[in-house]
Amino acid sequence: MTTLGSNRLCRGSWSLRPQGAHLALGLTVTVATILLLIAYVQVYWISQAELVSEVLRFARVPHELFLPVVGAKFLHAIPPEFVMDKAQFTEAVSLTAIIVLFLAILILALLRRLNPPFRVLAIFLLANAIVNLAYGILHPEQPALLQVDWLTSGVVIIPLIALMFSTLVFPIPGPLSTKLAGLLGCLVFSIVWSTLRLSLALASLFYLGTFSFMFLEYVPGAFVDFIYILLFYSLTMRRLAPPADTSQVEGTS
Amino acid sequence: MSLLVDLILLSIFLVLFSYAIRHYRFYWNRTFGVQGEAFERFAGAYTPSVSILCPMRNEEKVASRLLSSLVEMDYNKDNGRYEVIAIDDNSTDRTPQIIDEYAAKCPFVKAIHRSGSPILSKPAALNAGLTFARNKIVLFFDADYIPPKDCVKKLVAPFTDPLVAGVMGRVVPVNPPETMLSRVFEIERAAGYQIDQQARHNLGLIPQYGGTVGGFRRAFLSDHGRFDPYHMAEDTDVTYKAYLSGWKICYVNTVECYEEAATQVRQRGAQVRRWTIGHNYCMFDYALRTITSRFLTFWSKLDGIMLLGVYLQPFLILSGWALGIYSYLFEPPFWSPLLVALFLTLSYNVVGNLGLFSEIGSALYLDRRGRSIWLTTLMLPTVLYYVAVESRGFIRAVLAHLTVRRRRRKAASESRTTVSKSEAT
Repeated sequence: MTTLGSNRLCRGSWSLRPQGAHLALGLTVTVATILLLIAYVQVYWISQAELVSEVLRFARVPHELFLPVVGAKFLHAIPPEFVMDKAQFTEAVSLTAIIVLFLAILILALLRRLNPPFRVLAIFLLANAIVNLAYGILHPEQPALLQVDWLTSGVVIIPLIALMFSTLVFPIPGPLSTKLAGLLGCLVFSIVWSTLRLSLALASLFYLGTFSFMFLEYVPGAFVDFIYILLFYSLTMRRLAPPADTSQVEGTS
Repeated sequence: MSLLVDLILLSIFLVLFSYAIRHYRFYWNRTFGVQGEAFERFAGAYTPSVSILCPMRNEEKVASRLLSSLVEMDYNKDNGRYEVIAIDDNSTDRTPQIIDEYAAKCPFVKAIHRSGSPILSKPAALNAGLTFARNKIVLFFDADYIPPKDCVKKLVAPFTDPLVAGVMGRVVPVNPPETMLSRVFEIERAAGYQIDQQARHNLGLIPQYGGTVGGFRRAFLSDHGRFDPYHMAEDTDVTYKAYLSGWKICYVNTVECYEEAATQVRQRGAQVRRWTIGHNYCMFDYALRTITSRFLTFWSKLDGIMLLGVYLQPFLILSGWALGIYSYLFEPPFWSPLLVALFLTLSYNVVGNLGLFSEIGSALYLDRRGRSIWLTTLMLPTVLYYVAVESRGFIRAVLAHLTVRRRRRKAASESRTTVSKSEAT
């Protein structure tokens, strides 16, 4: 006589018991981050702008920094502004054209030797360079775009990182210290990167003209944000994952 | 013009954002939710008669490995209850001899040879095999798969549910450490099955039959026509045929079957391009019927539509980039940069893509393969590559649908009319 067996717990059928307390803590951190940003975004902007200004001074980029008055009304923060004398900009359309040409020759020469994913990446970079060249010709100078950068990726990414970590990493079984370290590392990297990116964009505007500024403004935006978030996410998950030979499984079926 | 561009960009953002939400829903359900019925307790207790079809074209390197596994399968082989139908599909190497050797050795192995066939395709070979299948359940295995000994009895267990038309098992690549690329391709597979398919099964949505390591009731295949010989995604086609006629497909995550993952980018690119074209054919054929189906719930319809549109996403991403660049070049109204930022952060890069990558992270965690999680970062160049390959595939599918497929259908319907007229005469 044949009898029915039971559902065996294996990797195809087990799931994890979410760590509710860690999830709640992560969500609290996210809410706190959002509230802190709303309350102190102007202070954050000013500190960051001062840092950028220091970097620019070190790079010998003449500029003037206009800081808003701290204490603007709730949700009405004004970003600081960098002003650079237009006359000092390198009128770089011809230089840009040379850079694009050089880049095109280099990429086309290497194209056949590259593996297809890197070939697509190279074409993507070249296309970006060409777009930026076209922009440089159509709109020679547009430093006003810097304000967009201040408002979007530099600040919005901070609560997004907290939200991503609290929902994707915090409920996973594992020590809280690892999760907090991952989140903190990612946030610090994000702030450092955002400061560096602004400094680089401004320095390139002065030394290389609109093309390079636009290139640094557009290409590394959300794409680079995604790369480092993914890196911190995967490293944290790797630390949290149990070793492959674990025979005791903490989970439910 | 600018308003039109922004409206299109907004639509793209909304579509891609819906996919991001879908990824998070699946991630959460599979990682922390209650798992659906795997019918494992019926494995071995319910043993219907089974025909196994193995289409092979120039598979001399792997044919005997598959046939040996199937010959040694732990299943009741008495009284013709188990048959293996090896189909040599116009092979020019030693595949026909290997098949014949097995057919001579084992009474339950049948050899079928197709030669000089006008249509060279896997669905055409399967149709030839189906003509000879006699048993209640028909399972399919590609030549480069290695089914474990308990695979068949676990795969047929879900057929105890009378509403189940087909089953699908989990595909696990067997050669991951070979190259870095095969490891990267392998972790994509892990997410697709361990998270996506299982979550759809858990939520009662539309788990998909994947063309191999699965099968159908023979009665269902007889009633709903055979495989379209010209189709490049006959698996998706038959999945929708099942759901739109009131049946369902059961995904069994505990049935693992091993395959050799692609080790070269070109090989993988060709595979993905073929899937893209075939899958988009299904989108053209079934999107409207899915919306109007009386057998599907609201959420199944939504999932069905989103599943059909999976290979449309890369084209939308490319279009989003192009429109973003347009907004960037030609002084747009003040809201355009906001739309571009939304597209880049919420729907495409930061939030949208992380939804997809979190599925991979969770799949590797559940598989107890935490050491491989860092590889997800290396998938970025392949994601860009897929965007290019799949967008090209989508354009080809649209063009083929408007030209070749339309002509072929017209010819088929004309020939059907001629046959019915001559029958009437």
